[in-house]
Amino acid sequence: MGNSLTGKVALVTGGSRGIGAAIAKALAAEGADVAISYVSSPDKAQEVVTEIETKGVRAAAFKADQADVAAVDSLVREVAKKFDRLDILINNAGVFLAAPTGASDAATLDRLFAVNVSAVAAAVKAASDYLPEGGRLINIGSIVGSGAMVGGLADYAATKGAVAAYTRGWAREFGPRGITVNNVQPGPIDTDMNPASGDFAPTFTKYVALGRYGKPEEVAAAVTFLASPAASFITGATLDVDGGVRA
Amino acid sequence: MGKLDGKVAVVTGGNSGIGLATAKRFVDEGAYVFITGRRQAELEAAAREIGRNVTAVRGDVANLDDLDRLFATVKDVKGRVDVLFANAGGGELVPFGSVTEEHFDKTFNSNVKGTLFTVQKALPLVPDGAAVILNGSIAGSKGMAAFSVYNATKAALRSFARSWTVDLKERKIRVNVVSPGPIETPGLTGLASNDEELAQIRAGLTASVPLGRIGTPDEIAKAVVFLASDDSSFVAGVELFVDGGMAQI
Repeated sequence: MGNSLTGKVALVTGGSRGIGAAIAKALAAEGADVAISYVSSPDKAQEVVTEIETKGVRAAAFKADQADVAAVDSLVREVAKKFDRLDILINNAGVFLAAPTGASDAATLDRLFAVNVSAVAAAVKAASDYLPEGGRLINIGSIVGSGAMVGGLADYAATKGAVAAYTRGWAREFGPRGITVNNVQPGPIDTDMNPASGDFAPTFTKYVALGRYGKPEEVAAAVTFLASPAASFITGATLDVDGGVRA
Repeated sequence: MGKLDGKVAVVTGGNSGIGLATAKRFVDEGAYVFITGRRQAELEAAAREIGRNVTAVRGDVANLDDLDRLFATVKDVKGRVDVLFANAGGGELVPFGSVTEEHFDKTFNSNVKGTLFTVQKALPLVPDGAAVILNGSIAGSKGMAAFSVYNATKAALRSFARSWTVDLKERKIRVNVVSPGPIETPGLTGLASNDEELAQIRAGLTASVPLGRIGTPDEIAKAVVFLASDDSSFVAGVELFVDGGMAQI
């Protein structure tokens, strides 16, 4: 337990499971009040809220469909209203799809871009009305936004490449306000979406210099660093948390 | 509880600027730190400023005998190196047409050769899972006038971190680069020959940093603590820019 984020309010989208839940808990462990959003797992979201509250900070879960930009806008404004402020926005929610080019339809591509790109842009636009000097915007991208280690991920990679470009554009725009904007790009992380025991695991693991999948808590630790005052001179940066895949 | 409790750290060029700020942070986070520097008086003053859990060893990283002496001392006193911050180095503004063999050799010897042998000679004392951090610079990613030799040395360090991540993967040693942007250090002020020139350099840098200011040595130190600690346990082979966005966007 630390206190580097005491008094701050954070919103973690997609915070009920996996990396998002780990980020929510890690920010709370540093003293932040934390709101999470979820779409389909109210029970899991409530579990995260209950666990966070045991750390002595405030927590709340909000249902918000990330495919609906109006819902994302409302989410951000409701969080800021409930907690009277918003200091940290973690754009974590996302959908993953692996399919060779030509194997997915236009509707699937639209959904990928709606959740992974348009919703992120909507959240940042809304958060801009609240973030104070010292505020933090942290996007959760992916190393496939920077390199194609395996085939079949071009559509997904394009959404994460868009997030990386947004990170740079927003860093330029928010810099004069003293707000930093950074992009954390996880490599293979052991979650429901990509379990370390899954079919893809042997393929992915051989690219990892450290020889293993990462844990959600390891991504959360990097995000927590970027959210803290210790990272006050870091903006526009991409931080790979990938065990050396892209070394 | 500190982030580096019980760790043994080495900071080359720990006598001033970013190196000194980092050595202080390391000690604040619970580490024992060895610092090096070329000038005995300044080195002793730095050790006094750090105040506790520090050993100063005079030496020049470009001199391999000095590096052998450094690690012999570390071995005698603590027996291992959990965190290595290869920070020593420097550069001078020299227009391309005026670059001499002496300028080239001096810069590459301290920044490139010195860093390679600092890390290589530390390896026998480095346990599996240790953290190595190289001090790069945005200069390695940007064309900066009259600074080409220095810029090239910093690009070389970024390349070293990629290769060493793979070279050392069986031992799970994490090698990362921290790349500062403009920081208030003696190295920055040393670039100018007078106050007016320094003011011009500062104004130019400030205008090109998206956060609109020059950074502090402590802001680099805190990023190095992150790369040295378990908080970055799945971060390997990266270049972490701490530059107010200057080289990012």
